[in-house]
Amino acid sequence: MDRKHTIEHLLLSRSSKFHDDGEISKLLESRYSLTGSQKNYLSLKPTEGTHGKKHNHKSIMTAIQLQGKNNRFSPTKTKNEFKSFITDNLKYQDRLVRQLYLKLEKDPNLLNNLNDITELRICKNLIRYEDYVEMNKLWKGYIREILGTTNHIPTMVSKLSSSELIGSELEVIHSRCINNIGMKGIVIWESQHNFVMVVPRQANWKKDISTIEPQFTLKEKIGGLRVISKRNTNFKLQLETEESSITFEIIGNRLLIRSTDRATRRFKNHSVKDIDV
Amino acid sequence: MICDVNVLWPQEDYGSSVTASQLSELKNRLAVLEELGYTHVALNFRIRQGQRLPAQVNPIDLSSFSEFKDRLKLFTRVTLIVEDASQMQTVAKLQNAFDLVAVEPRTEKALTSCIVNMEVDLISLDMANRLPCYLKHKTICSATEKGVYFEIKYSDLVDTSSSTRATAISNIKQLFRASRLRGLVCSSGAKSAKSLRNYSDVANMLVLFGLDHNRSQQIFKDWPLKALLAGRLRIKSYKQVVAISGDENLIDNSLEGKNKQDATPYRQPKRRKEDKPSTT
Repeated sequence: MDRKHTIEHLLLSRSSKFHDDGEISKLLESRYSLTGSQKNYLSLKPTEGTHGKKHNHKSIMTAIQLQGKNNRFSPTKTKNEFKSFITDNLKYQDRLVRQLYLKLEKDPNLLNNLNDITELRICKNLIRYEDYVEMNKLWKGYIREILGTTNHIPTMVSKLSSSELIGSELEVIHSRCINNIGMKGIVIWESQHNFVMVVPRQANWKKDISTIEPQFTLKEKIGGLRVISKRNTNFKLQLETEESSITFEIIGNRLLIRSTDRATRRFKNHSVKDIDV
Repeated sequence: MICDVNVLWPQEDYGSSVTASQLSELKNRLAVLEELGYTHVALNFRIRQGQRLPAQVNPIDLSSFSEFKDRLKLFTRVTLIVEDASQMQTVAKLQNAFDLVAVEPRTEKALTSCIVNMEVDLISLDMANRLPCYLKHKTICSATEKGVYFEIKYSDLVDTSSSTRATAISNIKQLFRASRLRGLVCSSGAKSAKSLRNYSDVANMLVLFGLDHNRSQQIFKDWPLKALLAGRLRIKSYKQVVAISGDENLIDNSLEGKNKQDATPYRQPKRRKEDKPSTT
């Protein structure tokens, strides 16, 4: 049998038009040769029906299909959307600081009779810390499940290092960037180099100073999103049970990998040149 | 933060025990060190290779030094004298019991295998005698790159005969040459309070041997702290990623008891919100 066009051969042999193999192979040969009677191109002729008319409305089937295409999960799209969420919010916060500064120059008592800064109309779209407390509660349940009741330091610490940190409440206790020190918030995203946190309005370390009235900057007053680099930064993580609490310190310099890789990664001890005491 | 990472613990091996007079003499030494301005002190327990380790690996009980609690930060250190490079299994057991782990290689093979295979914080060469081999820049600096520090004991220069002093000076100069003045730690190694010195005096003397002024400060301050940090993180953290932490910084060990892997002392009772004092 001709090995060349097996599929065509098989199909044509089903047809009643052809009676033997020789006829079929002859036809196929002439079909695919450059000089044969049949040319290897497809000719299209106009058919009857909606000729020249424009479709004003899509049929229901195509509409559903298109909608399905838009809704389909695409990792790059989700990522870009999240990225734009963060950048837009950061820009919005910066703009808000500038606007508030100008407003305060006109009316210095603007913020004095407000309970909460979100009561202002321009601050309506701020990301509020209170909305994320629920996420933190979920995370606490998760970490309690992971740690169990063990009291052995190496197992506790190794389990923590491979656990998820999104949703945890972290505090910066040491950083080469002095503005970040003391910042406390709920992590909403962890990338390779940064933590994205939601920080509360005004409630930071300055609140603990009892002797003098704390002076908050405008940025601290509006709170919201912060992107904090892991490099040269140590974070404090406090876990609480019913009676006691236990503190852990996360060394940012050793955590410079994505959280998905961190789960399966085998860490190694390195020279401690880059860790400050 | 001036460190002395080598104050000799009176015990020679696990069989003997510490007498009261030895303990009071050690406390004298610590008091002198405090007077001289040191803040971080490590008690050094020297053992020979091949000894059987008991269940309680660490014989040093820091709770008997409670009078130094706020004055000095005390740490425990072990120095393993390595003669046979093939038998190094004991180090893994020591690592979880002591704050600092040091080795004292006596042969060239032991030195290279210490650098390549083992996770130690300090390498202490015996400066009073001839060095086991010619120190090559490549081996020494690969250790420095890994984060292992080399120790110089100034007790070899004080309180000894003039011939040992000469050997010690030439050995120190060899180490300076091979290490390119990086990754060094200077400590006392003193057996008695008499041979303790102020750190700036020793730093000046090391400048005479070819150290520069900045590094003569670092050799007492930054570098031993880094060695301490590496040793403490081995106990407190998982591969230096997440560490358990008490009240203070990463090298603090005030909360730990005899069993260093028990997390109970780190658990703090929850603070109840106290009522604000009423203003009168």
